[in-house]
Amino acid sequence: MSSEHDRRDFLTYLGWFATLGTFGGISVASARYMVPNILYEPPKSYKIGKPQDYPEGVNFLPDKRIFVVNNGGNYKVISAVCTHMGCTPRWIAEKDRWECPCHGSIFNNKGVVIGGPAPKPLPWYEVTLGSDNKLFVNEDRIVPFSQVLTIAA
Amino acid sequence: MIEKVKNIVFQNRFWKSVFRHGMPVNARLRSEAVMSNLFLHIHPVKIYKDSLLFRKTLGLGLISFYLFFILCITGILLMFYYIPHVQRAYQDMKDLEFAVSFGMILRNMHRWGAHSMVALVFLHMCRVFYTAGYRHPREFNWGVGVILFVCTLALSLTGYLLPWDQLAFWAITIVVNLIETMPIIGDDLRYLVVGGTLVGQNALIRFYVMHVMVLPLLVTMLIAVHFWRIRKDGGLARPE
Repeated sequence: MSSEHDRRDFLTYLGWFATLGTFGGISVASARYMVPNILYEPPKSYKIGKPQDYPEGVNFLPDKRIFVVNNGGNYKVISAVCTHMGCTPRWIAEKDRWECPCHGSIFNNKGVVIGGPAPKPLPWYEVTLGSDNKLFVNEDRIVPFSQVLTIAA
Repeated sequence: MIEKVKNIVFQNRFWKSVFRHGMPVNARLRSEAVMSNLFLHIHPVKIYKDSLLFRKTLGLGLISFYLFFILCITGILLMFYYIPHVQRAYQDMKDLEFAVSFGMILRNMHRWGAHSMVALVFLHMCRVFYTAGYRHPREFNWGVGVILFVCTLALSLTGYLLPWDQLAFWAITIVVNLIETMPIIGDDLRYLVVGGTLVGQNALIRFYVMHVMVLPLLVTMLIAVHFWRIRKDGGLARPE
């Protein structure tokens, strides 16, 4: 085994290392590049105006895709995004339930699935009253059905 | 007179540099003409007469290719007016239909061409399957064909979002939610495809780039391989 042979092997490995390192690095960097770090999407927590703006019953906010439910001064907010494929269920007042137009999922007045392909109930979002007397919804906090915001008339 | 014109047109260095053989007047020159022409060499130099009968293939593969060609041309023309921005896309599409001269026919050629291509590629696969064209020695070309079919569906899907109307938005919302249901990688893959958490501007530009650049390049390359292999695998399948 001559030292010249060792040197040739070493340079061969070095060449492979450099080539694979370069192309591997570029590939990994390109893949990572495709995953955005900053999103210019609407915020997950926001104000939706004063409680008095929402009359008794179920009020749909199309921009935020939520329903604001006012049950005699007890305020609750539920998602208007069907848990099946993300369509917008409609509130059917006569039947006291939500029905999704896309694939026929049905949610009762508690948001629980009572029919159709939806795998999960509609989530209720935390709603609080700010110091400016405006309702504040936080979609990152999902609350149980029993939690309500009661506002004295 | 005619001889003189013939001489001027055919007997010069330019013509001979393009077509390296003489006029295809005999069998040998005819086969040479086919062999040395990129666009004609889809068939081998020697071919069974039966293979050329229309009823053997119904021309489904070539029709798929012609549709792809029509889609490329009409697609390039549509790109001159369409801007993939959430506030422009739908308006541009309506302009193409109602304000741009011949815009409606171009858009509809693209739309119906796309629908037809999905159907024709599927029928082409059926024909190859039922004539056992997927068997040795054509297994590899069948594989390339399957990838081409998937690319056709991907082109169809990415193009579906571009009008940015209700139909497009909800169709893509449903598809990306389907992606989300994949085990383990579902959430990350959805984020990557949409470029965020909602189907918005990032999703529109991603689908647009895939639709007008990445997938057409991939399909063009695969079609080249697909056609080349028809020739190399000995032409069309026939009963043994």
